[in-house]
Amino acid sequence: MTRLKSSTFAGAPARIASVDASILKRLVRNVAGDLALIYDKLTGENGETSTIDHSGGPRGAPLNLPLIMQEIHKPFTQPIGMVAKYIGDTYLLAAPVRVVAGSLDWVLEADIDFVVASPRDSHVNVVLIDDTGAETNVPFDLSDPGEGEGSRITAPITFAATGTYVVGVTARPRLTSEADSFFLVRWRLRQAANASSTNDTAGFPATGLGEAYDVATTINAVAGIDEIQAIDDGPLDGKVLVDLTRWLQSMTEYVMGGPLPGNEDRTVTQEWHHDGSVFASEPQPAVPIFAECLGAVLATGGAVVTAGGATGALDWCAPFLLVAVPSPGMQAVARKQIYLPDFDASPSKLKAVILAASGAGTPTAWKADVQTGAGNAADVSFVQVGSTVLYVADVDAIPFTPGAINDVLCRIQSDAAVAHDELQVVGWCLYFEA
Amino acid sequence: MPLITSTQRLKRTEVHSLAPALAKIPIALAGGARTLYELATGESAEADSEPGTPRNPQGGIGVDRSGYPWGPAFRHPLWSTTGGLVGGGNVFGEKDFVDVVAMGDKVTRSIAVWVRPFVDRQGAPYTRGYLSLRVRSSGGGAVDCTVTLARAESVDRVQSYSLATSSTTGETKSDVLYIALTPGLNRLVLAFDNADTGDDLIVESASLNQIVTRTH
Repeated sequence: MTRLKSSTFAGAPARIASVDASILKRLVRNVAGDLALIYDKLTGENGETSTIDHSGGPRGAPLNLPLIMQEIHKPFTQPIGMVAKYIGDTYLLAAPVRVVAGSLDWVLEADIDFVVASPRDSHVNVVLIDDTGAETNVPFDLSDPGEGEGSRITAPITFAATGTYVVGVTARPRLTSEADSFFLVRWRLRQAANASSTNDTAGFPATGLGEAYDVATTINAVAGIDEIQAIDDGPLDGKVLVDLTRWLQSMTEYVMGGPLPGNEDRTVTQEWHHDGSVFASEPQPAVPIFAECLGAVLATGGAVVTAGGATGALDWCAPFLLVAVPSPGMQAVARKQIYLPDFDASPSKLKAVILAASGAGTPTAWKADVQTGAGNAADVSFVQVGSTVLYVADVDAIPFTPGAINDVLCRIQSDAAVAHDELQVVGWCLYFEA
Repeated sequence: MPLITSTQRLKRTEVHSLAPALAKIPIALAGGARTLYELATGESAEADSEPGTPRNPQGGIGVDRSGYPWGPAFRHPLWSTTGGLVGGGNVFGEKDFVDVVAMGDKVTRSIAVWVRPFVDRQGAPYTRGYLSLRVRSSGGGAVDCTVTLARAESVDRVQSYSLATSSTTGETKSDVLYIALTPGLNRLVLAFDNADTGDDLIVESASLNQIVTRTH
């Protein structure tokens, strides 16, 4: 018994729509083979490896979910006594982002109220740093959107490939009085608009009341047609046509996420969750969850500055520990409460990149992990980004609760008694990836 | 020879053994298979040709999981404030979102949420963002605060929620409000009104989340 399956999509020529056209058994075989191909790509069944994981055609349309969508509303000021002193290049905003398969063309938009300071005099810049530490200045536009929130930096960003990058807005702040500050409102990194983008479904029939079409309740109620059912010398079997109809229409509801046109309600009971509960080999898409900056840090590393005989910490400061000793172990420096998708939690493919800065060499005494209500991931060490002052910790297999609000903590610890401000946590991101 | 595509649907009575062999049968089966292939795989079924299916909201081919008919959506955060934290005293650089002082203080924040393109039909997953908050009481006393969320262009139509907490270590309040969202940039107003005479309400962080797969 050989299950019919197309190696590539066969389809049928438009001439079959002719009134006098024959209904060829070859057409039945091709449809059966094509549906088997689609089914296997959706489910990972029958050894199919080119599955639908939304990494781009033929493996599904890319998702292009926003990478950064952070509201800040915090002032950036220089410590008391350092006004009119150049404190040097500073990462005002910096976050690690995990670029997954899909569009590589994005737009960075940062709303910053420079108040009385001049962006030009403060040498504002947009930078992109790859995993080798190579830093690229990104040309940007500066405009006033007229919303009473200052200026908008708009920068088109094209990533060379998938992977981990640091996206940042830098400045060499020149604040000339104690009253001066920047006010960081928000920033976002989203997909660049596509000229063909539309919210219109013209071409697809609208859902409405009508006669019920024959739809199976599960997409695996019919999982294949055997070649013997579609041989040339055999009759045109009504059962085969019924099975093909039910299979096609149930998979269509599954993929579209709603009832077939003409049906009031959805008949398929299975949800396309990517949780592996029905189809063990079902692929899980790579999905970015969020990325954010936790505070500013000097480009030489450090969030505490000394200038003109004064010492102080930057406002809008990348967090660091006040005491860094082996106990009390992992300590949280950031927390989010966010929904996570209905993905398979065992094994978990939820990951994080924690971005830190250190101006004192490789922070070998430090480790990081991520904790949720479902548990904590294994701790990891920090790895330098090229020869910069930036370091990343890649956290894998973070336990989580699918389809629910998760309380997610970013944590660090020092394994030795070290300078408490040796490591500053600049930002972090959370994402799903196989 | 171009491949056929179709969105016609067959009924059981049309495919029974003794049913007339109508042209609709091969059209619906073969054409429907092409439509399904392109929706699922995100590529044209015919190499080097335009797809037989409409473009998705992003202008691409195939379901992009933005809601029917473009696939069931994922649950995920749409927007969030900086991950503020009470660090137990050992963290410098904690950033609470807002501190709403007692005795009638009101704090208002204008926020902006960009939502990727989607078909803006009633009940579609991305038409609502659900607000979740991490909050605490400054002194451990009960705090009673009204949270409101509104679209900036129609501040008369607000969603309100009565929030209460007495936790000094912080607690999460999930899905307390939802706000209508449209594709693209959404300008919203988030306000906290503390009528309590005792303690401040500290809002450590906030998030807006997309929480359904098919429909609200």
